[in-house]
Amino acid sequence: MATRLSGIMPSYSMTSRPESVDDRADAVFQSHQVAIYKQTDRIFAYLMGAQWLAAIVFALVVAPKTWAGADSQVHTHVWAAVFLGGIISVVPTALALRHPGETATRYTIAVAQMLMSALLIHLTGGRIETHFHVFGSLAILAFYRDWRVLIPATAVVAADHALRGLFWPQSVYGVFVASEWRWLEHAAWVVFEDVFLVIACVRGTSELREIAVRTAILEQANRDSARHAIEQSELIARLRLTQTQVEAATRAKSEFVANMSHELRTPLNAITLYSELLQEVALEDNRPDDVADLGKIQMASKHLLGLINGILDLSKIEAGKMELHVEAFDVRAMIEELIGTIGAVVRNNRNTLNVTYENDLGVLHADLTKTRQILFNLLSNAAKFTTEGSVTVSARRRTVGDRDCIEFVVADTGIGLTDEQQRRLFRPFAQGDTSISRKYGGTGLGLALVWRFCQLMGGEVAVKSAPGSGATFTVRLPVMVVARTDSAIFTAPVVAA
Amino acid sequence: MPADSRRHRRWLGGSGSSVRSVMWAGLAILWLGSAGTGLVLLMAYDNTPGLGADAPADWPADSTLVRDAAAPTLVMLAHPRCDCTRASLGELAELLARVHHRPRTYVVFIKPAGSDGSWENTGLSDQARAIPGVTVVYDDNGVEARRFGVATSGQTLLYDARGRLVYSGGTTGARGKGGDNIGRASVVALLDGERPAQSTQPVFGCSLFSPTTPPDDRGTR
Repeated sequence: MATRLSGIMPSYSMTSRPESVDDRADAVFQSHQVAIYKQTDRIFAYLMGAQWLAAIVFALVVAPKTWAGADSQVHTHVWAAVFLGGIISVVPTALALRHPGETATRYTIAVAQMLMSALLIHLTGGRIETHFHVFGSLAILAFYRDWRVLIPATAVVAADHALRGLFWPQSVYGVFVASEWRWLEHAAWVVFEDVFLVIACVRGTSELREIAVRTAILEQANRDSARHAIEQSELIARLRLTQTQVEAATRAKSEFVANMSHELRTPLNAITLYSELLQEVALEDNRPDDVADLGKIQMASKHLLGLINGILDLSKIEAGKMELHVEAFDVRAMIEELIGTIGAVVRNNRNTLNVTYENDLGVLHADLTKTRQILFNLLSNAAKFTTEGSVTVSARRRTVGDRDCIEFVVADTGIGLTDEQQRRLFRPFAQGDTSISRKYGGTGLGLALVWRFCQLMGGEVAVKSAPGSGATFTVRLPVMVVARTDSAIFTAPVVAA
Repeated sequence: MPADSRRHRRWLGGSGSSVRSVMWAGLAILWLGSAGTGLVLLMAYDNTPGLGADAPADWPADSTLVRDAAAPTLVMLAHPRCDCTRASLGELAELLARVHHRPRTYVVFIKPAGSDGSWENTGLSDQARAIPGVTVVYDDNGVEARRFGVATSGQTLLYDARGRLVYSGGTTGARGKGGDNIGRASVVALLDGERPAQSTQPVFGCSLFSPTTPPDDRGTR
């Protein structure tokens, strides 16, 4: 990853110690500044050549020859344009091409540009218009954004005026006698322009530095972002690995539990069967004490069998091996059959059982066994925790969202549940508390299986209760259950749906 | 200052070698010296006057030019192909525009022996004709130039109403350079009846005669 990122961000390596924002800002600033120097050097390289050519053309057009009677020869201005222009232009042009960006290059260019101004002014006969070349050149020199280059340029202009004023005052001032300080007046106008150019250079440099700082900060942010992305991807990879390991461990555990449950159920069935046979023999032999003892063995065996069946179902679900056998069945008939089986259990604690349902419940396409198991477990719980009260089971067809559902409600007037108990209610082996387990018995698997069966069939279960006020369990199953083919591990909710 | 900054602030080569620095400094001095010398020579050339005139103190009697007997007469001798004379004619036009009383003015273009008609149809001839009040005269073989003792293009002579020479010199301050100058100012002052700054001035322009012309045949005396 470090190699790949270093390709994107050449200035940084994820394996090397990153430079500070200040250092990076300095580096970016210097890089931009040198780029500007080089770019301006190139401009002057072309400009020098163009000026040299222009000087030659101008000399050839304006004064190609000098005359003496009928004789003529090439005018000195032409040779001056060729040779002096060449001397002035070639050196800075060569430096601009061979040593772009160097300090000496731009200083040489600054001097050369002013010497070229002097030459052009000479060649044009000292026309005032040509003096604008000086001011234009200073403006172009400001492209460097290095105000220092204006110093040698201005010095050349001042020296040119001072020397010419000293030796040929008429050539520059139009008079034979001029004050030896008059060159200062001319230089002052150049300095006047310099002042504004220096301000422009300083501002430009300041903006350049500001951009460099912003660039460095942005790069730092990008680098941090890249590092965070790497850390995040590594974390996700670790989580996925852990998840895979957990899934594998869970499946292994569930397979083990399923196998063990199967192995346990075989001898347990034998115990139950043989105890029933022995009880029949004891009854025939009129041995009431043995009948009672054998009855206890049967009861314990059946309890243990129920517990193993529950664990087996739970394990199948967690191992992704629980399959749905979707079939169409009449809801009303299923409820009546269930009541016939569990009605006596509900009435054991002197409870009344109320059954209500709509006439048009119709057909439910679902797993009949698991639907029956859901209602059986809910009714068993209601009967267990209600004494001298009532247990009500009702069913109705309703539409939730965009799908048709059958809603089953099992309500009791029993001991009810606290909020904390409701939160743990659908977890495996989690009863209200340990005292409930001791007082009412049970394994804590019933409601866990209810929740998982509902999930498996695309339905949901919810509870509404308060301590001492009974509990109401609502189960909604879609009318058309679709058999799930995935092997997702079901995790019990923290809070009841 | 970061290392990068220091690197880019180094001068050429950046090796730090004193020999290299001396070499660069030497080259810089050589370059500046060459350019400076060239410019000085160019300025010296531009400011070197031509051969001065040996004009007669009185209007030459054998001249074909007609002097104004009631007012000053101005005569400029010029080479029709001397580019430097363009500035002299420009200054002549300037001074004639400034004076209160415009004098009779001649611009005499010499025609070397054997020259063809193209010597009469040059840009300078057109420029001279365009100046109001100027009479353009062509001087075959420089006869008039010799009469006036003139050897350099742009030489300007001013004779007063009595035919006495009051000014002899150029109307530019340097070769081919227009602008304010003492020669022009002096002529203006004389024409306006004021005291001139100078009565003689150097003249800047081409030679009217070929070097092969025998000295006796040149204008100077």
